[in-house]
Order: sequence, then structure tokens, then C-alpha cells
Amino acid sequence: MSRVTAVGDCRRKYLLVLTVPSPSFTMAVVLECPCVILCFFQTRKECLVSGFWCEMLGVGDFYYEVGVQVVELCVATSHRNGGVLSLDEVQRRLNARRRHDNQITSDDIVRAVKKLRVLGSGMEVIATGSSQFIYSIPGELSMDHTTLLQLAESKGSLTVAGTATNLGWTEERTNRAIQHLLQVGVTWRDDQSSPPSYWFPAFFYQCATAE
Amino acid sequence: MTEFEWPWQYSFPPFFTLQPNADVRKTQLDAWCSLVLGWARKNNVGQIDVTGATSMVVFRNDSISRALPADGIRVVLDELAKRGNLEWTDKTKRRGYIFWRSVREWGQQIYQWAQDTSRMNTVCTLFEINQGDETAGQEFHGLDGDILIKALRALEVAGKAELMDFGDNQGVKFL
Repeated sequence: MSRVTAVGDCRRKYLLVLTVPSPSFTMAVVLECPCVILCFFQTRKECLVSGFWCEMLGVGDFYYEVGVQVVELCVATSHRNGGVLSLDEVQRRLNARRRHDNQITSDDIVRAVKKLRVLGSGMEVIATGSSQFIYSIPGELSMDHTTLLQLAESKGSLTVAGTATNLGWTEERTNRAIQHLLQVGVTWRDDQSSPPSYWFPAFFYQCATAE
Repeated sequence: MTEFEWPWQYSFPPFFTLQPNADVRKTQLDAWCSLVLGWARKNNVGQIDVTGATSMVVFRNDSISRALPADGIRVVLDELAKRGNLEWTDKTKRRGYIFWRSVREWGQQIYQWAQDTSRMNTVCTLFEINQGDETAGQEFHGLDGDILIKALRALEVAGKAELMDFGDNQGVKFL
């Protein structure tokens, strides 16, 4: 049985020292966001029994399993959606891999993601009026960014002027928030519309349903 | 023959604007390369002409009124060239051969076919190889003539074939 002997958290750096019965198995891993997720998998694959994660997360095997699957899905699709996934999409994709009599609910997913926070996985669940999405973007998102994501989910694409009017923000504030989302790869710019518009793969139906 | 299945990006409007974010652009170019190669394969396109490219359906989606501008096409083609899937025919980079299989792979396939159909040490015409009835089920059936010659030349270098000229016709002997 493995045991966590130290978990240090200095802002975005996480130090896990894992001890298992064999001395050769003692290892220290410094995880730094955003590679925290990948390292997390390596350690899981290489040497860990799930008991360790249960102990650390304080959850049973079920949420551990769902949580890991959510992280895997975020990693596997982040190149195209920038780390934003609608909860519906997560549920659909995870259930597609599960047996009929073993389907999970969106509530299970939210719970699993919340539990993963202990690990500093950088994942958050954002609730909007009608639906929810999960983001696994390195660095904090401010309220403004979250608001933009919510608006984008309902509209599909945004323009600076339209968004400013819609939210009652100045164009400067709107632009700054959009530029940030562009920088972290959550949104794509379309220059062939007038004025330029910003599109979100995560909320683009064909992307969310693509294999 | 089944319809070519367009990837989701093809209906995503900003896909037709080169993205400012470097990571996103890399993803975008990956998607462009696989789109162009997949499309070329499906439609048996062997050469791309840069001036004509803007009107090629693969670079434009009229149903969403988006088209990849000329400089964008250039970037995509350069990327394909970098990956070995495209070879410029001239220094000015106006035309290029497009390889959804490398020249070597084509050569190997053709050689395999020659072996399987007992054509060793006999002469086949090039027409027979890329147009003949007997290759109808092969991937290289319909292959661009220039690319076919390149593939056979690669075999020649490896000592597996010998190209020969009969005036207006060309043939190859597999060794």
C-alpha cells in the first residue's frame, strides 16, 4: 500500500512524495501546471495502486475512475478546444465508452471534478444558466473570461462591439478579455467576417460531436 | 464510391483565417494538411497549381462564405512540403506534386503488385500500371503520371526496376 508522506503546495507547484514498501520505489515528483495532469498519469501507470488516490482524494473508486476519465478526455481534446468542454459533451463521450447499465450522470462528473481539485489539477466546473462546462486551462480565469465563455456558449461566436453592448462593458475591457482567451487557445479568430468574430471550438456542434 | 467526408473544421469559419496563437496555428495546420491529403487521395489529385488553388473546393467552403486566402494556402503548401508530402516542380513554387503516399511507398506497392502478378523480368507499359484494367483495384490506379515515374525511378535506384523508352511510350521492367 502506498502512502503520501508529503504534499507541498507552493502556488502552482505541487510536490508529491510517494512512498511504497520497496525503497527503490520511493519517488518524488514535482508537478507544475499544466503538466500536472500528464505527470499524474505517468505515476498512475507506473507504480500506483488506486488505494493511494482514494486516500489522497478522499473518494471511493468510482469518483476516482470518473475523475481520471475526465482528465484524460480534457487532455485528449485540448488541442482542438483549448481545454473547454461542455458538460454534455463530457457525459456523452464518457458514456459512449461505458456499458449500458453503467451510465453516469452529469452530477457524477461534477462531483468527480470537484474532488480532483485536491490534486490541483486545474480543472473547474462552471455553471451557466442552462448548462455547465469544464475547463482545464492553466492559470486562473477571471470573472470576465468566465462571463465571455458563458455568452459564447449561447451565441456560438462573439464580436468585440456586440459583446460590449450585450454585457454593458467598454470595448477596451471586452477586447482585453477576448485577447486573453485567444492567447490561451480557447477561441479562434475569424477575419473574414465584418467585424472580425471569435469562435469557440468547444461550443461548435460539429467539433463537440467529432470523433 | 463514397463521398469525401469533410472534417468538422471545414465548416468552422475561423479555420479559414490563419490563427495568431502559435499553438493553435500548429493544430490548425495539422488539420489543413490532413484535410488536403485526404481530399487529394479521395479525388486522385496528383498536382496542385498555386494560382488555381484558390478556386479548389478544398480551400474554400462556399456554404459558409469562407475561403483560405492565397497567403494561407502558401503556408499550408509549404507545411506539406516540409513534411515531405509535397514537392515543388520549379523554384518559383508555382506547382507542386502532392504525395499522400511517399514516392518510396508508391514504388514498394507497385513492386509488390508486380511480384504478386508474376511480372518479374517482363516489360509493362506505364499506361498498364496506372490506367490498365488489371490494376483497377490497386491504390496506384489513376496515379499521376509524373509521380508514377518518380516512384519507378526510386525502384530503379534500388535496383528493382529498369525504366525504358520506346519513343512516345515508356515502359518498365521489374527485376
